[in-house]
Amino acid sequence: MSSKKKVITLRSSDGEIFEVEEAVALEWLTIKPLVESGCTDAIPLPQVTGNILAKVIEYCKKHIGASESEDRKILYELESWDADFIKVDQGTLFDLIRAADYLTIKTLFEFTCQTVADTIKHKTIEEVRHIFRESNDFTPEEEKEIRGKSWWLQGL
Amino acid sequence: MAMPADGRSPPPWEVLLLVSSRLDPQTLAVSSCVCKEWSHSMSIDSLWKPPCASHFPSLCLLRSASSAAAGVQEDPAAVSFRRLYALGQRASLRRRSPPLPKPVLSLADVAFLVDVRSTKHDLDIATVFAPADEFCRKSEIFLFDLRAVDGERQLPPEEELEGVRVTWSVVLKTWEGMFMMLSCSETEARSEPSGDKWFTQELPQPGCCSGHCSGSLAAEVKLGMGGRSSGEMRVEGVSVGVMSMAEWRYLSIDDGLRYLQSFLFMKDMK
Repeated sequence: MSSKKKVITLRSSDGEIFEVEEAVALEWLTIKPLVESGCTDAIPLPQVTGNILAKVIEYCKKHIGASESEDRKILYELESWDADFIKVDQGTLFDLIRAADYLTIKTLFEFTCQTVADTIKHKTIEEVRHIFRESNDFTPEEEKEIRGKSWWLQGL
Repeated sequence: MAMPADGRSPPPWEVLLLVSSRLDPQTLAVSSCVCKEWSHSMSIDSLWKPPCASHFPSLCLLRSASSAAAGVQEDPAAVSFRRLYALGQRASLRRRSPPLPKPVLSLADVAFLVDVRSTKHDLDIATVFAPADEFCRKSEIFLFDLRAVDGERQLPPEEELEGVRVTWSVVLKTWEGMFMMLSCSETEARSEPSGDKWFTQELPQPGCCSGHCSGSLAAEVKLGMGGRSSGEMRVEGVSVGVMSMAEWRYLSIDDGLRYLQSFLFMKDMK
């Protein structure tokens, strides 16, 4: 068996070419069958742009093997690395969620979704609108109705 | 789409859908009021099934029972999980007593007067007069501490203690009202091994709207005593509090103020 690790080629929606180790690509359940079938062509990923794909690969490379580690030092280091990794603007965060969903990368998907969920938690309606730059597009009647369904909320 | 300078942008609908299943009912309800798009994503009824099932399992069972009775797996006419959750919340909120209005009286309005006096000799042994908010409070309960009182005089010898009275009054700072919480003879004290003395006396039932009508209340005064070794007992610290005798705990600040205001704000005073 060749000692050289097998490399998989990926092509982003904007035509950028990336190479990842087979072990990394096997974690992406969407392309796993293709990788296992021994595909040697560049795998097209028309839903993911190059800059996002670069981030996804960066995350998966860091996490491969490390997530299962039981060494507390490694896990602690990984946690702080994650905290730095996720310091991105909201648009990038949302793109990462979509990419992780599309490529079926469980760890990245869990992590990014939870980050957004945590941002929404314990906020008022106005705060959520501000954080996500949403504007109130309800008519007064609609707003009354929707708030009426949540009458049990305190401090609404 | 151009990214705004602050890096903030509304999430696309699929992100909302993906995130929504991780939100608790409180956050779901807040999120559903943000805008139309959020409202659609957060109102999907299956999102409300898990919280409904964990908080109100019996309501969920009732729902599936009625579907079974209708002979279908999922009765489309069945009440939504979101509505069930709201109903369950309403029912459990009603079980709790309704929130009481904030007291009109505030700690800043009143002062405490604690007096230890020998009636026999017409002498003040110790007097403390201080605004209630200057007393040191133990968290948010109606229990106040005043340390380092300089007892003007030492307590009389044992045989003359009978004539010594301890009183605690609450005075409105405007001098428009006053209420005597406790008036005890020295002989009614429970003494601790340290020499500290405790006085307890039941309080009269409050008027209506005081908020605390269940069970009786007791006023409590503790005199911290010093100079025991030298045989010259002096009052060094004073604590005052109000206890609920039924629940055997101190009242909250607000409950204490609600009790006091029913006596301090008497309409026929002026």
